[in-house]
Amino acid sequence: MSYRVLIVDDSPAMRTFIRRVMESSGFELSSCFEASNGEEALALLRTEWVDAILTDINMPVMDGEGFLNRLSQEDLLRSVPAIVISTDATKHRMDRMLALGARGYVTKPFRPEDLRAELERTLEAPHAVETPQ
Amino acid sequence: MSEAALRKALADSIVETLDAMFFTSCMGDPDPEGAPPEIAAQVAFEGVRPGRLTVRMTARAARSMAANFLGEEEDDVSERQIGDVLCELANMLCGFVLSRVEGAEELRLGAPRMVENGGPAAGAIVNAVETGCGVLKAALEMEGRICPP
Repeated sequence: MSYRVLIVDDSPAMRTFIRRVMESSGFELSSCFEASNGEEALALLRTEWVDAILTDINMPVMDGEGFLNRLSQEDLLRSVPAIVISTDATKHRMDRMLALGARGYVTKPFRPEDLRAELERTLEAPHAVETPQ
Repeated sequence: MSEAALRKALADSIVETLDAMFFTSCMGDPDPEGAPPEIAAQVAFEGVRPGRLTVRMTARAARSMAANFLGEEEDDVSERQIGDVLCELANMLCGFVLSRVEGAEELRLGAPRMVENGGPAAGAIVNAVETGCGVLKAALEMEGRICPP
């Protein structure tokens, strides 16, 4: 099975790296979209469906926290699994991003196999129960 | 956190980041006769102990590292890409070190940026390694007194 993935990061180099390690680790991508902040990502998600989102936290315009917040408010988007990729390895931050709806968390630096494992774990897991309205 | 612990965290950050994300191994201490660093990127951080982390490299080492990171040939990597990768390296080293500071709160890192290459401030914790194609130096400066080892 191949997947459609959205990478949200303000660093073009990091977006290239993430795309490259997904491909080189054998993760099957049918489409890979990119956005440089949460606002761009939301605009893209209005026209493109994706199976998973990989998002940074520190970004201009709309950061990862604001982005996850908005995803959780959108009926059509809240079920899309999001994985946070960040340099922040503090437990406090991880707990907060998971509470905001992130399904996974990968800290930088990471090995290609770590990212692939987290993606597979997230995509294979049953979707979380939807937040009651 | 003691100075010794910060030194170890900084050294570990370089070894692990180069290995995992740049597919490069540290090759020990830099050659004292080697070329000095020429370009630099810096990340400032806030918190109980605000400060900044600066990464300095030779142009050759930075080009080689950028090529490894992006999966491109060295000749195909632009100056802008080199700067972007160096900024990302500074960001990762800073996050690695600060996340290991005992009792660390959520990190508050500024946007990494290219800066003039100068020497580290007095009192900075510095770690320098040979990458195989030039030196990489990382300097951590924190406000306030750092506990001695």
